[in-house]
Amino acid sequence: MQNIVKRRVIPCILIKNGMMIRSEGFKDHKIIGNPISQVARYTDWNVDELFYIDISGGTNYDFGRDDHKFNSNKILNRFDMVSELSKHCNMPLGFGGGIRTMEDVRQVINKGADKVIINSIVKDNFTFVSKIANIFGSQAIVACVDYKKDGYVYHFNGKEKYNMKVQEYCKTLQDHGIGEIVIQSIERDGMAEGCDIETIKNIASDIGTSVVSLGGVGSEFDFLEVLNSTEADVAAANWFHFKEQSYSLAKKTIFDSGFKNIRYDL
Amino acid sequence: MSIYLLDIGISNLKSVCNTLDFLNTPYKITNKPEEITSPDAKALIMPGVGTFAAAMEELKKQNLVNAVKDFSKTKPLLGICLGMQLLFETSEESLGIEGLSILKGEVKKMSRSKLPTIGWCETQIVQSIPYFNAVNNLDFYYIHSYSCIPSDSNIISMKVSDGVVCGVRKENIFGYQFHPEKSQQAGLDLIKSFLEYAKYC
Repeated sequence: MQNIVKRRVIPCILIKNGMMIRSEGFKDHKIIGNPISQVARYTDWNVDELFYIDISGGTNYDFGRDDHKFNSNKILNRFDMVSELSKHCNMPLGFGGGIRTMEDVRQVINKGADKVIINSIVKDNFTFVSKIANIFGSQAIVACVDYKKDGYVYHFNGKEKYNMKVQEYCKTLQDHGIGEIVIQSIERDGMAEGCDIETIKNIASDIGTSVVSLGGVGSEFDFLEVLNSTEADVAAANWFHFKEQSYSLAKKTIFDSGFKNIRYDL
Repeated sequence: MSIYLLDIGISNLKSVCNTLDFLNTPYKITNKPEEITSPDAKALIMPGVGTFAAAMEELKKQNLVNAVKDFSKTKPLLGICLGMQLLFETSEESLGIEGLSILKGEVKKMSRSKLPTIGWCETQIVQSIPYFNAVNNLDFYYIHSYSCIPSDSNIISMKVSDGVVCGVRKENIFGYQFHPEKSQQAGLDLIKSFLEYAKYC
């Protein structure tokens, strides 16, 4: 266990067509608000880091209304959104969703993200990871790995099964120079039934890069369980949106339990 | 006179711009050697994401190597992350490539069990930094696999508990391995201290 680096608790914002959504089972998406004000709130909450994942699939944004804190006419696509969000973000920002080319990667970094999160592009194209790593460095590239109970990796929002098990897949990513891996259990998405500790634990102890668990958090104690039982850090989306002072509650619960290796202002 | 931000095309320039905006500090972005050597350039910030070789190649392509070196002789220069590593002579990341060689020393891969180091590390201030008051150790945000090993240990300003050097200062030259622009309040204070130093330099 590495004690130099503090363990992280990372809120994740899911975006569809410019609006923040709540997701369940990768299918049921409900609009829950404006991402810009949410990012500003997370900055105020002094969060460790932020993941921002765009699952729009399409290219154009339509906010549907104009009473946001920003001029929505200026935000036409997901890259403009990175620009706008990063202005409100005094912490590290990882951006993912629809990354297909090196130009996409360059845009995301230039617009103010610190890390690019890739997923489906890796399908049969692991060298894309090495290409990014060679130019931007391993630290700038994060892979989001979605898997199901059958142990296999799925691409394209969980729709397409890939012929590789999650463990082997993560190993291969590591061999190609990935900086960090976010593993997400598709069945646990939005279920708030706790994280898939067994898989997270195996992968985090198996590979040499940082691992972050995403999906499943249903209470502040689920964060603690991941930190205590595995070497992975922990991210969550829905839970942070629906609870008052959720972030500080999570941190306080972890710290008060005796787990001190986190950022925590007493 | 202005604060200049060096744009080498592959850096995370935007985060540093955002921070300067946040601090209401006007700045100019440049990739032109004549602007860097002009009297208007009061201080230079060199952010960086990427590999040592890729960054040096960009600097060479845009004829910036000598301009930055000249600048560093008298004016306040701040290197962040890769920008700090570029101040040194060589890097294990890109063997055979010479850095800016503004500071003596090398950049080596860290011996930590998990690399890259991604996250917040408690950081010790080992040498006082002008206009920066820190009583206790501070948490800063790091993303790196390589770290600087200065030949002269007297220039070290900050360290992590395992001895990894994460801050250097030699007179008007400052370098931080972590990302102050991503380190919430502690980072903002550190950037402010550089701007303050530049103001009175």
